[in-house]
Amino acid sequence: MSVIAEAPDTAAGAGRDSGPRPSRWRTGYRTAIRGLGVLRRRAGVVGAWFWLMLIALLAVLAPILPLADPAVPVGTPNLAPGARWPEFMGTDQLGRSVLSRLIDGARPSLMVALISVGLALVVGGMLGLVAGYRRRHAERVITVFIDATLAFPPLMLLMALAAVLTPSLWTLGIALAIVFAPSFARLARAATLRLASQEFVLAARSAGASRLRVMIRELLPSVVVPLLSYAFVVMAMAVVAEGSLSFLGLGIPPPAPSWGGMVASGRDNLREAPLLVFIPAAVLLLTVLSLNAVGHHLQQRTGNARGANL
Amino acid sequence: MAGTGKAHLRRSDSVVLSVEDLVVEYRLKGSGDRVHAVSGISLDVLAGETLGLVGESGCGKSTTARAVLGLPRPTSGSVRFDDVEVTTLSEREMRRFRPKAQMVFQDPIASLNPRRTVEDVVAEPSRIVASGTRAERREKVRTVLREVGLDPDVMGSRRARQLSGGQCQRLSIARALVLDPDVLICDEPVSALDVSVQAQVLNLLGDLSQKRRLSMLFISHDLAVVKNVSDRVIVMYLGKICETARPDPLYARPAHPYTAGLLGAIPVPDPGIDPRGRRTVQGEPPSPINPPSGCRFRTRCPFAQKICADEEPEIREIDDNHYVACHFPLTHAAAA
Amino acid sequence: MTRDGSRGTASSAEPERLLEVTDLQLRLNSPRGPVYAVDGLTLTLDRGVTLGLVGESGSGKSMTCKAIMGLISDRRGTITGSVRYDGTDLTRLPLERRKELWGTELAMVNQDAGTALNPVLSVGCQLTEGLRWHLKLSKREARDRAIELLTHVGIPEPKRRLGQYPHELSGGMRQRVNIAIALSCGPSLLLADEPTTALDVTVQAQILDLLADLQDEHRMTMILVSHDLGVVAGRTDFTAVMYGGRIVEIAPTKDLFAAPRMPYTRALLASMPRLTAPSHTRLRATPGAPPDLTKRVPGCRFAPRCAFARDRCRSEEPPLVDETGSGHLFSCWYPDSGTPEETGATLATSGQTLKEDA
Repeated sequence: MSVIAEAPDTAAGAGRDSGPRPSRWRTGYRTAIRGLGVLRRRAGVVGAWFWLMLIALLAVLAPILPLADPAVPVGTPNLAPGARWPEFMGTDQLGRSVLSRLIDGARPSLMVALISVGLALVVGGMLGLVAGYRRRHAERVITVFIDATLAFPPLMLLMALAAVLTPSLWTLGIALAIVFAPSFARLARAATLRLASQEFVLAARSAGASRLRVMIRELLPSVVVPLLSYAFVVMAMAVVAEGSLSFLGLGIPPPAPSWGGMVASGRDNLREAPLLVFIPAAVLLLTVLSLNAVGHHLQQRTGNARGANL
Repeated sequence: MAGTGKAHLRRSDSVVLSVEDLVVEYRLKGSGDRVHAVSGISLDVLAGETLGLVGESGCGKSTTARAVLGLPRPTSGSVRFDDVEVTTLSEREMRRFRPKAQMVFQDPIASLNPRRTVEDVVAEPSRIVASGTRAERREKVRTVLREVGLDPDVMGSRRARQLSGGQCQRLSIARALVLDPDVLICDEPVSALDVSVQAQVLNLLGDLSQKRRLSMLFISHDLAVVKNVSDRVIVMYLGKICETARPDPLYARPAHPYTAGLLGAIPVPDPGIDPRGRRTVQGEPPSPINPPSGCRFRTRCPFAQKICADEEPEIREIDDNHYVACHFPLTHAAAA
Repeated sequence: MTRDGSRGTASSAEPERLLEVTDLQLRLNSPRGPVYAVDGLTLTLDRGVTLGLVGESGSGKSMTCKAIMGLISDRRGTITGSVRYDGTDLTRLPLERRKELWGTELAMVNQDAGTALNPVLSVGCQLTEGLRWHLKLSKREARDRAIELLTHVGIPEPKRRLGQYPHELSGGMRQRVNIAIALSCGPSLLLADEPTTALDVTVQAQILDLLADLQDEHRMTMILVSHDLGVVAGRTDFTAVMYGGRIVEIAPTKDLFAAPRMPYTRALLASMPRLTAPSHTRLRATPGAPPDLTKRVPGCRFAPRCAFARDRCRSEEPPLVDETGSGHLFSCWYPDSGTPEETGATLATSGQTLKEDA
């Protein structure tokens, strides 16, 4: 919008006489560049949403789509893409359909991301809310917990958990949730602190609202907004983490497909069939980029809205 | 100045709110210094009366208001609504008591939850108290909105950020009135508003207090505003009461040097008066972390003597219903 | 605005014109579209004169100051019209040239003394910066001059203050430091934008006195912006009332308060609670709210709230004219509308004011 508002101004300015013309021209140029940036960002966000919807839709519909069984060979191994329909992405080293495995592999990746982020959001958000509003003892206990968790190297934590627990969607999700929860708690606490000092909280208290009611009805609706937009960014981290863990063999056990696992198993004959690594890696990359783009966009929007209201 | 004493309290049956020896102190985070925000304030409000509380920033007027509501509870002292001591009530009992006193705040935006519509803002208190059926509550909300001059059909579904400052304050007043409180505490309710809008809100408050026979504790730094709405005025300085009287005699014949200086410092919209020729107060208020001994105003008082540092003046009646806490109150022959 | 001879203060026979603002328009960019913050403002000021600029929030008074200073970046908005300062049109000067004038010719004191100072630099550092840059003083000279300035604005222990940081000072002290910084390079025009709004009344009186003293001493021209008619009344030669981005009435201060002609000025005066009026005096409130500056509607901007508006007011914008030739300009088709006691009352009460505590 700033572009539209400013363009005529610079045009009007350029029409005037006297010295400052080069600088005005430069401003116009800068405006134009900024305009391109805005457009690109918008297009990026739209594309990101589109990609995420597509992946989510395919993952959900995977069982009913007319695809080959991802665990069973359908043809010769290492078939190049485009050679066969509907397995247009070719086959892997065991002759299983890459397309089926990609789509099926989206399910654990996204499930782990959803479980971990969902748990982290709820638990971390609640802890942060309580720490921000109750202060004193609750705050002290929770901040110590947050700091302790943040101080523990996440990879070690994950590997330790993977060693103790049998890897599954849920154990992975819970392990990652433990890693992510402190950041949500911190964010929630900061948002709560900012809101709790506002007079509408005092107004609710003076009408006889209990502290619990204040937290749920007055604070929570506003605290949740920044948390949700942050959740997308963390979801990107979760997808990466799941991929890395599967790559290291700590993720979902084979033969169930997952993106990280596909990269890991394709790595052995990278020279002959580079696409076996490249395709899942590209899908992973696009998904993570999209999640980040959407998350940043939402953060910006809610941030602006906050600035306008408060 | 140093209002110890309770000589100005009234022994009347119609006292709705009575505060005695209210003390609020808290420690600063970090340094741990003790802030003496309110140091022994006593006041009372009669039914249907508006008590104005005036003073400069840091004098403890807002802290007093919040302590009266128990948000947070005072360090010591007593607060009684209709002869019920509320400082000793449990959290649960206190909650049931809260609807009796409601508050209107200074910041028109921050005092409204940005995620609520106008109707929701007003409906929330009655939901908390859970009085009446849903339909009754809704009707009540609409009545109160109309009472403060907001059309529920037009404004009802808007959000706070879509309202002007004046409309926000009307909404805050509606929210405070929906529980039919006995006492309305207004903490700088018009300070953030422009004069033309300020006049609307002041007139509204005046009408409401009359129509509902509402007792009000009206807090402001603006002496002209306080004079306009109050039946009685208390002047505060650094956590203490300096002087209290009915507004007309107080403004015409201030007895405390601080009151006189404060009145002299107010800019008047009359070019015929040279602001340089008026009595005002020099210097800046001392820190409430380490308030002066004796009379707290002595460090800025032109008439301060040794006794002012040694002995805290006690509040006493110098004229009918005119009380002052000063060793050397101004007599009006001398001031003229 | 100023007219020869109408000034009370003694001055040379030919008053020097310092500032001439012609048809100044400031259009700010906002997400909701252009905001006409200042809309066709014309003003002249002679040397040594004080002009009070009053209006409610959003009337454009602060933006007028910023536009005169040239503090609006191309990104934030566009300025049209001209601001002639001592003969040069500031709006056409490149930024580099304007920067040279800031501090040495034009200076500004803001409302928010806290944020106007850099929190991580010491008072001394901020005070000497301008001195060293504009006046090319040595470090030693700048320091001596800074101590002198701080003493001048009434700050005790100036030497110690130089090493202090803004957060160690009270609001009043910070504003004094701001004034010292503004005056450090001897500007001819001081724009004081609500310099005392954030301060307590007792401190406000001290700061306003200080500004008046300094102005007399340096024969500075000053624009004192305030939302409070009281602040302007005793301390200015001329008063301009702004509404909706325009000046709606401007006159020698005494004339304006004695006989306001424009209904908005009267409404403003009538809606102020007075110290002299008895308690519970009903205030004359103006209904409605100030105009939305993103929309430009025909006619007088005050018409929607004006009790005396007629058809012409809603269709045709009244010009700012001097009907009587007395230097009292106002823009209203039907001046002096309303009952005589409405204006009479405010004046009668303010006339007998405060004699008792003077």
